[in-house]
Amino acid sequence: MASIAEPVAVAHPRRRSRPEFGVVLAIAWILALVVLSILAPYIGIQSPDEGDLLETLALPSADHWLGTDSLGRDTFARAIYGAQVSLTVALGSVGIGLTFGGTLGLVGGYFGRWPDRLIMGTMTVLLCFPGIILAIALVSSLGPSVGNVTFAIGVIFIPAFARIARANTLSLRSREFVLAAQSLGAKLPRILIREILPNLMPALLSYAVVMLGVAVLAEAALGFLGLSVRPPKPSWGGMIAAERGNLAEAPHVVFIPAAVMFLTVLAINWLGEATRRLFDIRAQSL
Amino acid sequence: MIGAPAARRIRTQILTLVAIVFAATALTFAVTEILPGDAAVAILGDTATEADIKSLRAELGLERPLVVRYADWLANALTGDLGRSYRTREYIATMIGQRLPVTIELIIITQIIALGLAVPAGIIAAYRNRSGVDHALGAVSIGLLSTPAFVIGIGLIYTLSVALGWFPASGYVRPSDSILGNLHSMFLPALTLALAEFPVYMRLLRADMIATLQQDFILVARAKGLGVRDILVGHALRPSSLSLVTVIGINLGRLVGGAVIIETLFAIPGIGQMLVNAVYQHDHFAIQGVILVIATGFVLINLAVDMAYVLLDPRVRHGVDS
Repeated sequence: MASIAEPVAVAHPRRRSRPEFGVVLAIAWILALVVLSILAPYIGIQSPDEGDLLETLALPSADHWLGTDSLGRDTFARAIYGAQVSLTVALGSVGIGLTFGGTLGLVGGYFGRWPDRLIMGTMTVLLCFPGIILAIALVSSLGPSVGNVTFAIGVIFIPAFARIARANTLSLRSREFVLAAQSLGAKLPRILIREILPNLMPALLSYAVVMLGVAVLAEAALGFLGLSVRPPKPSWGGMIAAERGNLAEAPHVVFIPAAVMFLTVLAINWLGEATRRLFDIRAQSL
Repeated sequence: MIGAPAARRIRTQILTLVAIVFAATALTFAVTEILPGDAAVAILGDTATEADIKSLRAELGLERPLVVRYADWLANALTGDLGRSYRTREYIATMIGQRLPVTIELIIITQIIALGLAVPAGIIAAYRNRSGVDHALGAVSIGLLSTPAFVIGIGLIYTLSVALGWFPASGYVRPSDSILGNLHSMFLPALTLALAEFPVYMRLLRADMIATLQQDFILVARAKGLGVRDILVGHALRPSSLSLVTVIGINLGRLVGGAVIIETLFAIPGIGQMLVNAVYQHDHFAIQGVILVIATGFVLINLAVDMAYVLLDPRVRHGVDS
């Protein structure tokens, strides 16, 4: 009965001396994944494409740290090369969403009137499509490749970033420091880039961290439908889809790549929560 | 009881929404246009000669400019004629008519399961704010948010159907064959989608509920000596459910997106599966028809959400801006 109508204690300012254990773990996992996937060709990781047909669906062992798949290919190597695809797509698509969405929202929010109505109207239409469906249509028309998957997911991220940038710009454009800059005769680009943009960054960046996780999940969904990189090139979603038929005999060939993906997205979400707390962004900015 | 400001709002909104459906279908028409290997090639296969393709293109009317074809399609669509599949020559409207109820059923069962889990969980998490239960529910929801729906689905297939044998791993039973069999075959896909939605709903309700519980009228209710259950369910739940109602509406798009993957995973013949197949087979009219249905549905749901606001919150009804 404690919490009804009793004011919840105001959160104490977080002590900054020691970073949280979970955050350290999350950063460590992501760094390890990034380093391994960049260095993969140079540090003697097994080939992700060559299988040993005498050793299919093997359990994890000293030779194959995460076991082998139904063609005898090393799951560890494929997971690392899959990480290359996932991380590239995630960074690229969030970059696209942040750049284009942020710019559109900034312009719409600052100018108001018809530019705003045109931009936000277009964004609403884009939001009308279930994102994954737009991505499926784009990738199947452009052909499955890392670049096209990045582009497709980036496009579906644009409206959300635009909305956040617009909402924050609206509240910033009549603030004193902007009015001061205007009355001092600052040129438009200066006002937008030097005055308003820096104040948008906390909201946009903490949302960007969250969207990195969403991008990994979206790439996996496309991979599952066979619309990410072409086989035999590994992607996490593709690995899971390909081994789905072996679920009964060898569940580890499905669940190990799934676990790698889960831990990665979990680590990203964890960092997202931490950034959000750092900047104290409330959900209303959406 | 709807006041004038609310009525005007709804009127402007209907106009906007018609514009959205119009724009969405035009955009799809343009996007499907850039799909490679046009319909004629897709129908005839790789072995077709140049001349065959040319004559079929003429027969299908593909030689005409894009705008003319869109206008043509739109005029027909307004009379309920969505054209025929390039592939099977079936009427698109018939195909959608057969498949839409399956997806709607899936989405309704999903929402029932998701809300059935999320509402009690959200209330408990808000009431026992910062307790062990709250943290445990928070951890579960972060875990679910970090897992793609198809992995949740495969996990459920592995535990509930491969290991325990309680549910079929895939396949669909028509309700006309067996109502129970139908529900049985729909349960796993619906549970999969519901678990993916659960964290979103729970976190929203929890946040709003915590805010509501600190308001004066809750204090009054407590002073009157009402029981905890009465206060939570009778007094706090309704004013805390505004964000939840909005998100249920917005989520419809997400759910249809999720249904595309989950219908493929569980071999459920809904419009999601129809859309994926249509994309694979370059069946333009089928894609176009499904998008029309989804966009219209999305728009209608948003309208309904706006009207639900009026019922839930008297401030909106009387045009008071918060």
